[in-house]
Amino acid sequence: MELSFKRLLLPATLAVAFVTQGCGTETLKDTRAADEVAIRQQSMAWSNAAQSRNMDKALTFYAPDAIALPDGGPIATSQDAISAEWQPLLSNKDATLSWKTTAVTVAKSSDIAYEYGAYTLDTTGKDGKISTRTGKYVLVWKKQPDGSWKVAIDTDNSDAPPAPAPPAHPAHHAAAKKHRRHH
Amino acid sequence: MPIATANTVTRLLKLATTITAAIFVAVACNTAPTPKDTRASDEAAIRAASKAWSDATQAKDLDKAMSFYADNAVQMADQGPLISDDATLRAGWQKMFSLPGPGLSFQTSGVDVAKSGDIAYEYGAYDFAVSDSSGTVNDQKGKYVVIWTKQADGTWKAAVDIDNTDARPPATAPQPVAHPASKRHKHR
Repeated sequence: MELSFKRLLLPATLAVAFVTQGCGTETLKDTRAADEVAIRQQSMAWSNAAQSRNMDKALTFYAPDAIALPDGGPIATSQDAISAEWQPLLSNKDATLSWKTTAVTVAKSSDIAYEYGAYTLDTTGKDGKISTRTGKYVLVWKKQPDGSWKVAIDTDNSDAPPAPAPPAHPAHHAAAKKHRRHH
Repeated sequence: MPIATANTVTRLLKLATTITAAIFVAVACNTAPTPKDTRASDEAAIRAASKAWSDATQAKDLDKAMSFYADNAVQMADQGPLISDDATLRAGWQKMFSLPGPGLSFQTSGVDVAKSGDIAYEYGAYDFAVSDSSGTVNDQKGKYVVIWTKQADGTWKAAVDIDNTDARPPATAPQPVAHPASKRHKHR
């Protein structure tokens, strides 16, 4: 009967293989909780990079095909255009941007997620006074082939209209991450 | 035991194992059904809903416009606070609809649906046309992002709605008397 067991080995192995592979179809593992944690960490790391005005680091959070829809500016559909949106803000030592996640929701398939939250832009005026501007943002995150989450859509707006600027102190506009000086 | 009989037993056992394997496969397939990729039809449904929403907005049909929001929707109106309750949301739209002129319209640029067909996002461009006191229609253009979620009944509704303007008027310009705290409002 030893021979018989050897002959049974192939069909038995196939049975086990089929069951564990779920008939060769995609196994539906719910990774949403872990994905949400990863996205919240990414968002915080990104905010830290913005706060420390680390341009190179800040740009690493975007997916290759990311689209930015900045407040008070045209849609940016290339890496160069997105970089140009960040440049004025992160090169301005008088302005500091940071933000905080309010909520993250991940699709069951864990390929797309969205986040929204609140940002704060502190600007130090020529008189040394800090003016604070707040607003809100929405990010769409996409899981990349390497398993990391990157930003596919980035948009924001402000909580209030810009205050009329006194002539001596130009108002800084939180075009959210995209800072604009207008006068 | 004669050899022939042993072989027969082996064959029978082999057959039984194969049948068992087949049953396991069938059961496994039934308990973990293949997710259907509905992304193409979901995208079409969302584009149709967005178009119908824009049409309702052009018609200044408040009930219809509100019907595109999911329960507990979050609206992030430009230059206004975050809105997360239906009454405030409705009041904002009502205020916007009361302004003279053709009003708001919007057009989808892109839609992307999660493989699981439960979440999708849309982005696009809006045009907000309001008549001033002289009757001249001023257009304010901007962009928006809507997060759509599939409801229990299979329809798609807006869970998050955010917009902003493409260009800001100078901050020193006279500010408007009222800001409709609503989707894509005009601000000067």
